Amino acid sequence: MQEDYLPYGRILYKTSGYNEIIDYLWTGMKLNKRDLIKALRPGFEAMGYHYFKDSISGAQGLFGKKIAKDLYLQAALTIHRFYDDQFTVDLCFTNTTSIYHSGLDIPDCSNIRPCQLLSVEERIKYYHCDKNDCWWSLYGSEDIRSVVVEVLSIVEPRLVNNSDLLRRIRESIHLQTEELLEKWIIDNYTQKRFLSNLKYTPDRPLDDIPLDWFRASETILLFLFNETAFPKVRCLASDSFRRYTLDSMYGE
Amino acid sequence: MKLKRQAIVNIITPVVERLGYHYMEDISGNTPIVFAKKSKDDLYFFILVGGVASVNGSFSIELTLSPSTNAGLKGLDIPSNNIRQFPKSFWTAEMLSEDSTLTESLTHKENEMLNDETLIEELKQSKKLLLEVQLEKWVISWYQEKDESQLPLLSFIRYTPKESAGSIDLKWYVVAEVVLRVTWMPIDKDRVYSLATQAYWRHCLEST
Repeated sequence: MQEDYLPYGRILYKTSGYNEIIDYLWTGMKLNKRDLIKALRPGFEAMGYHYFKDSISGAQGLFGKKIAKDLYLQAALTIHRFYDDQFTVDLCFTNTTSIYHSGLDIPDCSNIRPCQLLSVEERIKYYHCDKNDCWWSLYGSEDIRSVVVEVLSIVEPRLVNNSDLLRRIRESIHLQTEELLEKWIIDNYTQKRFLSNLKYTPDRPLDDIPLDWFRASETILLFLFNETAFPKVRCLASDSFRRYTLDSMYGE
Repeated sequence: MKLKRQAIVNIITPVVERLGYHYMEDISGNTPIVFAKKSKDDLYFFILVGGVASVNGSFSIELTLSPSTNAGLKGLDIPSNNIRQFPKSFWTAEMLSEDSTLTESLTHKENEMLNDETLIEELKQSKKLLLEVQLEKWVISWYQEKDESQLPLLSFIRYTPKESAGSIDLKWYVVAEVVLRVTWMPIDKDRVYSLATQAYWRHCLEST
């Protein structure tokens, strides 16, 4: 890949096979979570996703929808670590509402970015990039919301209709364990069965998640392991809350 | 006189076999002697013989009912009355020679526990026991269905023994350790040994 340097020291790429400079504008505007969500949320909601306020998962915006019984597709927005005007979408398709799984016995392609499900021609069309790792800029000349929606409408069926992937998701014992934990926490939440003297439940709701979710999460973790920690309590509380919300919206 | 472990096994086995119990092999040698049988509703009875190192040759007997083959498992949501002690604090070989005492007591305790609907329900609802049962079943499933080369995370194996002791072959330990790592369960050597043994016991009891 040939590189030229802009006055600000940012790199402008020429992709292989292309003779023209990519219409890649760096406006000097650092992308932030609020602007990203504001720009993309209507598009995601039009595609049936539900927006979740989220400060726990590490995503810069989190949307989810239920595909079928015990099957969920979540979209986590990610701002590039080094090029802070660029973003992508991490799609997570599993039988749980936790995200950012990797390794273990989880199929790789259940956590995937849209560009990885596109052909080279499609990547060039929608990303102006022919690589396996492509990003968008919110401040380019295109209506990026429409581009994102169009790409998602193409890649979603490729992901959720993959019968081999579905089989491997169902067979994963790591995912089955996560699913059990979420369901047990939901049971405890609905039955209001909590231990007393809980240490890691926050003092006030987090991300609009009622406190009882954290109580239920910590209770289940104590039942299972006799000890727990704050990050695990809040992650599971958040995952279970999302599962319960999506099940309530879309039905069992 | 101090009795050796095998001597106690030899004394008790004929007595409890009549009630359908099987001796459960455990390579560690430091745990209680265990006899087990499958009961109704996917529950197992365990006879735990403890105190085998006592100087005067006496030992304790307790009966446990559980859906998991981890007979000694304790937890916040596991009912504590799934373990029943016997009237005599300690037994001796001479007492067992009057074998009807033990068999009558066992039968009575078994029926008492099986008729305790609250106990049965609490055992079935316990999340800790449910997870333990699931882990045992996954170990059995992967032991039967996968070659070792198909197991994930093999390079992370640390606690599996170098060679097998007794009739529990090494693959049970490998699979147990892999299952614990894949499911992100707390793990150490004792846990690997215990889960491997549990899964092997469950497999044996299901086969009888």
